[in-house]
Amino acid sequence: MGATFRESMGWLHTWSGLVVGLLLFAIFWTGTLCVFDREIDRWMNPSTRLVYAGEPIAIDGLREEAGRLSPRTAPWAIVLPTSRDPALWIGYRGRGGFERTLFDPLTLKPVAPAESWAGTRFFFPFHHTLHLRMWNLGTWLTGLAGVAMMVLCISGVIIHRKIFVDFFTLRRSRQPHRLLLDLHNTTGTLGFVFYFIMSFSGVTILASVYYPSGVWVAFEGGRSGYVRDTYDVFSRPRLNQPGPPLGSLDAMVATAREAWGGLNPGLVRVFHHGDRNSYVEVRPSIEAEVAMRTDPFFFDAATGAVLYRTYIRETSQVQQFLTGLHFAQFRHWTLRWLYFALGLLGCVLIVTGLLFWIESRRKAHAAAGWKGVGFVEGLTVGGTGGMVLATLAFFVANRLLPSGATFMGGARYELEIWVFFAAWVLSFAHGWARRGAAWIDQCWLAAGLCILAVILNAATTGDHVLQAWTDGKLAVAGMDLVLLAGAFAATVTAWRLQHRRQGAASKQFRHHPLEGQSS
Amino acid sequence: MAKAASASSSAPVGAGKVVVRVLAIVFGAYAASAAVVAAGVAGLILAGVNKSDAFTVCSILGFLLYVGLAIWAAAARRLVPMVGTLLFVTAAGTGIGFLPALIGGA
Repeated sequence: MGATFRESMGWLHTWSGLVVGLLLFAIFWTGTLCVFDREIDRWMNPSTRLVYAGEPIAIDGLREEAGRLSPRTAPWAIVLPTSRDPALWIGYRGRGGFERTLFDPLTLKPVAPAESWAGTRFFFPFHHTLHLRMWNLGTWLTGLAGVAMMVLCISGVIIHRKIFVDFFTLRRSRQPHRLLLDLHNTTGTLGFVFYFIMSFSGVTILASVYYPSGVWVAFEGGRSGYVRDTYDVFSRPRLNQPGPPLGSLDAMVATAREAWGGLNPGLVRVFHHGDRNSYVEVRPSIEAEVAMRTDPFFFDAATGAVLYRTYIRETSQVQQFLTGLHFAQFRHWTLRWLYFALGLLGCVLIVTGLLFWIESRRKAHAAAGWKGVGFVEGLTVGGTGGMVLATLAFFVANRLLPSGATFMGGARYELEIWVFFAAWVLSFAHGWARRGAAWIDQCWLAAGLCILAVILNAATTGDHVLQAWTDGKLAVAGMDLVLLAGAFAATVTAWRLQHRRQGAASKQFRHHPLEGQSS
Repeated sequence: MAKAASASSSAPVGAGKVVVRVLAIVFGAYAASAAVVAAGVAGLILAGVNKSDAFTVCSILGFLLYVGLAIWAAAARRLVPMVGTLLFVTAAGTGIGFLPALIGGA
């Protein structure tokens, strides 16, 4: 596309970055939030703010409860707690679709239901479907963005002669576009490996969606055939004859745990409950190792005899390793914070890239009378600042809406999601209306919303930072502290932007009379 | 966008050519990589490799091929041979990938 390879890569980097930049930001931002998805869950669903330190749990006592909750035609599952996800729950197909009933892990007494979709059910699906379910459009767009990110990484390296110099260069020049480019280069080189691995592992998770060509060639029945063959799923049909009662689930868990080398169980699922052919699947917790290992055991429901142990092939284990690397659900707090920091760095990378595009063209576009810069500026404000505001509005709405609230047919969790999207749309409108000044407004607003969220959390649940910390609810205290840090960063940014804008305006003011005298 | 693109590169390029190149980068490179994945899976299965192994290996490498082809499609000097090559790879890959199934099914 250019005279040289480097010029072509410059063209590719500039324009693909502009076109997918906002999509990438939405994915990076929600991905970064998902690093702490369980902690967001605790903050937004106060009934699940329990403390669990890995005490052994006997689940046999829940057999009757589970049988009562679930109609016997569909499988039901007991999901065991972890310290990050301390509520034990029974998942089943109820009248309104998939439902869960939560229990305290220590007393096994029911806990008030989680009313918000929070991190694991809102941000996580948003991260890979963008909540665009039609024709799987969101999933395909995310995949395209993932591939584009790899292209951007590679073309970005090629257009740079001085990678190692850029690593240490941050010129605090008066020219905004110079500083932006330095920031873009520094964040780009610092996190390069992370961005590439995340985009690559991200697309490989859904390889069977993105490459249906290979699935059609290899497997009968398309994607379900792929899942059946690759994950070696065991099943046996219902006999429609009443069977003996459900045997000891704890004994089955103990058998599986021994074979796994002591891994904790994550999920116990009962198929055809009450039927003579009923069977139980036991899976390990995904916290113990990087790979998202499934490795289920299948037991006869009545006798507890092992019916089948799944075998996952080595190549699929490689894919599960890539998946686990991406999901970051393994237990490692240093790495978790590093993922979070690198995720935020990626957000800075994307924003500075977009801002550099704007600033380096501002004069030329103004001179030529083009509207491109103004349009992209509004779009960038809404797509980046707006995404942050929408997230904060989502948190604030969560603490303001009363339990059981409904509005226009929407349940409480839906109202929160509506607030999220409404705030996002309004941010775009604000961006186009206020252009450059919108950044300052939105930074002030973000700082205010962060503080408000922390205050509302303390007021509605009593778990202010100190209380939560002493009670061992580190997820809640941590989220409050991150919100306060965010408020601080937003305030500093807003203050400095305002200062610079006023400085620039007064300088212009002083310049004009001087120029008039000299001429 | 085409206007600005030509402003930033040395030689002015027609809007039509830019559109064709963008389509080649996004869809052409994908189609070619998907066809090669199909061909690779069929080839490995014929060679006696397990189906899941064949698919997992080829699809994971397929993404890297897509990235490589997209970069090449952006950099290639001449538009027509580039588009021609992508189309040829797509056709050949699809042929190799689905031929065994067609013969086996008949």
